[in-house]
Amino acid sequence: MKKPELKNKVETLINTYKFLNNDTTSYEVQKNEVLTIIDIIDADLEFIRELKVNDNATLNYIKIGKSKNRSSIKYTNKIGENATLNISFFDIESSKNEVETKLINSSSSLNINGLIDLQDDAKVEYDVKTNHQNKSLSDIKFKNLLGGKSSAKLNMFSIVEVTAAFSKAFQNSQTILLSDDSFISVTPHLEILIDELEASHGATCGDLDQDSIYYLQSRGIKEEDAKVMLLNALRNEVYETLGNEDLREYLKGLV
Amino acid sequence: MLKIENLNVEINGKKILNNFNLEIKDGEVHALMGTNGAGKSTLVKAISGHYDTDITSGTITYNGKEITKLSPDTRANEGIFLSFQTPVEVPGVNNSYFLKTAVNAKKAYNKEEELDSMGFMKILKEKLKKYNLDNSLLKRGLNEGFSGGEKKKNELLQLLLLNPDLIMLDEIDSGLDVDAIKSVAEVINGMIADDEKKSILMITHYDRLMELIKPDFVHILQDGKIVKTGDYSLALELDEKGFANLGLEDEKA
Repeated sequence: MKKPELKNKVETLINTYKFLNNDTTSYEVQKNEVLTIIDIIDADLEFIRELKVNDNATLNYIKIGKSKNRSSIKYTNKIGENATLNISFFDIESSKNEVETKLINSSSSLNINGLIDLQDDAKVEYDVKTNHQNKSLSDIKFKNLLGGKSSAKLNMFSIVEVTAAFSKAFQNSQTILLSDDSFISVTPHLEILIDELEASHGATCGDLDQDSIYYLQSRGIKEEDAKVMLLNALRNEVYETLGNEDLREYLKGLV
Repeated sequence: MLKIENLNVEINGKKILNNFNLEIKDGEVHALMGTNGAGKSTLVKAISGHYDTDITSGTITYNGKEITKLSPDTRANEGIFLSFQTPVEVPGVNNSYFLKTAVNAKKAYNKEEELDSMGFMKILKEKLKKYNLDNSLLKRGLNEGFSGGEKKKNELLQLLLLNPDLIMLDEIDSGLDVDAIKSVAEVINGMIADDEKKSILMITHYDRLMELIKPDFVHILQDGKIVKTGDYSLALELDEKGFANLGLEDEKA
């Protein structure tokens, strides 16, 4: 297969980790800047990431977890005023992740889109803690496609403090279990200390939609192919959040 | 083309079709009418192989083959097409990609050479141009966020590309304005004109579609079986009198 290439590397840092590297790395995006960082985790690692987005800046952080052994990553995030941190997680192998974000500045935004796409006996854990201390947004979404004997554990815990009136806090998890032996545990949790806000949380778990499979079959597409199309559609929904088509195709090639 | 004999169909344990019989020959246009819940949609779903329909007895023979045990995709590739009343939305599946996949699935089934993207686009553009359909739906997700009219247009596009022999239309006219119904009729009549062996089974509550696609037979369905059959004049009589005053109880007796 041709190795994927990203045409525009100017604003993108691409890190591939293949060796043990137990360290703390900080990424800081200066005011009014936009940066994309891709971490490709291809080894048994244990490290800390500090993601700092200054005022009016945007950081697009993408992690691709493809290590056969279990990596462990802790994220601590700081987001400035009118700044945005967009995080995309793509996990196809085992990993353990902690994500802590304090939204202390006005109009700061955290968007997390995760795709946990596992087979065999891969295990993925996410512990996502978000603390709204000022008017801010957190939108945390995971899609989990679990086959074989794989499992995923997902804890989402968001607090909206009394100082964070008119914040928005959303949590959502959608799981498709592709085998009888796969397992999911999702705990969405919102702790709301004010009245003026928008918030929602939800988690679904099930099979692929039977009406959709039938519809595709009724147009001559075999059941197995219809299922692959629907699974790819769910994956594409996460890729679509990346916006940049060039980047999408690059990542699809990597994953 | 299609022969249904003594068909009994249940959905969730409830009997919907009751010793149903119908024969559609090559080139015939049949219209199926009846009150809500009479079993019209169940019939076309059973013919297309919907997972909900439990055929407890009877046979459906299509072009000499008994098809009740065949998968929906095999039936489709054999030439059966059901235009859905409310097609499902499938977000994330690009409409153009879906159409090409469906066309190539049929070609693979018929052991024909599959189309590449260029070949597919050429055929697609020909169909769009011939029937004055716009291409705005192609780049979007399959039926995703489509209006009722757009969904029906997309069904028509699938119909044109797959070019089936048996065309079943489940209330394709519902929710459409006069011009949109004319477009539907233009496509169907165009397909019949191109291939006079094509047969139509259309479910409708309204006379307007039948004014434009003249049926050879009109059937009234009640309690899971046909209780009256006539020609187009039966539809006109029904339009005038309604089901209650059509003397259907006398027919059953």
